[in-house]
Amino acid sequence: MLYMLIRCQQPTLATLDKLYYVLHNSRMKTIDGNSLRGHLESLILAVLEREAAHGFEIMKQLDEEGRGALSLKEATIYPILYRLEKAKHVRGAWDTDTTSSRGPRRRIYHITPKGRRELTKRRKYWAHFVSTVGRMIEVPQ
Amino acid sequence: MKWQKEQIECLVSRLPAREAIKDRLREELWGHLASIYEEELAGADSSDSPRLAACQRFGTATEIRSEFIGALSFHERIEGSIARHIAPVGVVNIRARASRDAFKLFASTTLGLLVLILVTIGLPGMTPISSFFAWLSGTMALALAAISIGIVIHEVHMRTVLRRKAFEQGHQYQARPERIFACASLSLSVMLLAWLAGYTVSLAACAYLDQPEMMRTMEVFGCEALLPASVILSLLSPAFAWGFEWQEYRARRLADWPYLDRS
Repeated sequence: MLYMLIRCQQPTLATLDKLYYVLHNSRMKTIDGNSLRGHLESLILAVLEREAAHGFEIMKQLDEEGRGALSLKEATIYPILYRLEKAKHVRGAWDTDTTSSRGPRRRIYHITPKGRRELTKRRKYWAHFVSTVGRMIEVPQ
Repeated sequence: MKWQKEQIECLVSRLPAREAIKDRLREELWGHLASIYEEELAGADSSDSPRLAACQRFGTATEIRSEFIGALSFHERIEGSIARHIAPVGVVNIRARASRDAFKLFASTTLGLLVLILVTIGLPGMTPISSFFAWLSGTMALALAAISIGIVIHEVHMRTVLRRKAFEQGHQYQARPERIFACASLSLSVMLLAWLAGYTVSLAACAYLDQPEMMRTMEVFGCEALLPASVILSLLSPAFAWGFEWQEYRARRLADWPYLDRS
């Protein structure tokens, strides 16, 4: 989660962060849904900022970016998508190209300008949160 | 495929939300569960584990339902709860349900008429004409109210049953002439009902307060001004009917499941 949000605004830090994850991957515990509650909206907006996607793709990207550390029940992203759509932060549209595919239609989500503004606001808040709380939690040198 | 549908239905059917929202969730969640299952199936070596793994990844119905309830607004929850209470639960025979609704409508209308007749006859100071008008308009108001309520309840029943059939068996949900007629009747009755209710109440109030002059004024005003106005307003009923049908069309589009089973 931290990795994803930082990566979008600070590439240098992201590279260091990636290295940290690679080095410490074996010792890392998974982050469960309860810990992520409240941040999932930001994560989904961050994924959709890069490209429009449907629920399954969003989940795949979250999983890839989280390197398996995010332990989420996959269907829980749909209430969040519903909430984001209601708040007009994302816009959903059924995929009309169903001629060749079988099974249910997919609903593709796009981030809206309002959603982008919201994401910027959330990033600022997150940076402030990390700098404030992180400073307090860090082991004193 | 059937276990996937059952899994989704178990989660969605008990949500206090409108059918349109539920239909959308059914399709989205089913798509997601099917994708997880395919992924698990591709990487699995035994026949039972992919299904179990897919369900574990997907989440239990209880936890997902609680998340969804949290995402619904207060208004949506109230709306959904009302729809759930008047909608049928379980396997429903449409004909049996329709006849039961018709009987309920008939019984409630008859009972209401009896009460109204007793009340209007007993009112002091009723002239023969005002008594007749009060009785007639009251009767019609009650009958129209009962019919309107009956149509709405029946609409909800039919819609839910047909959607469920569409979801479970791949049947098509179609607009029917009687449905359009019901919508038009309902909208037409709204204006007339408003006039009749107002007219009856004012006449009854005049009679109760023993004001014969005012009652005559009310009779003239009601018949010469309010009735034509309500008739003119009733001419707008096609707009109501159109709006109602448009909503129905949108709901039908979301409830269009049959192609899911095509091979």
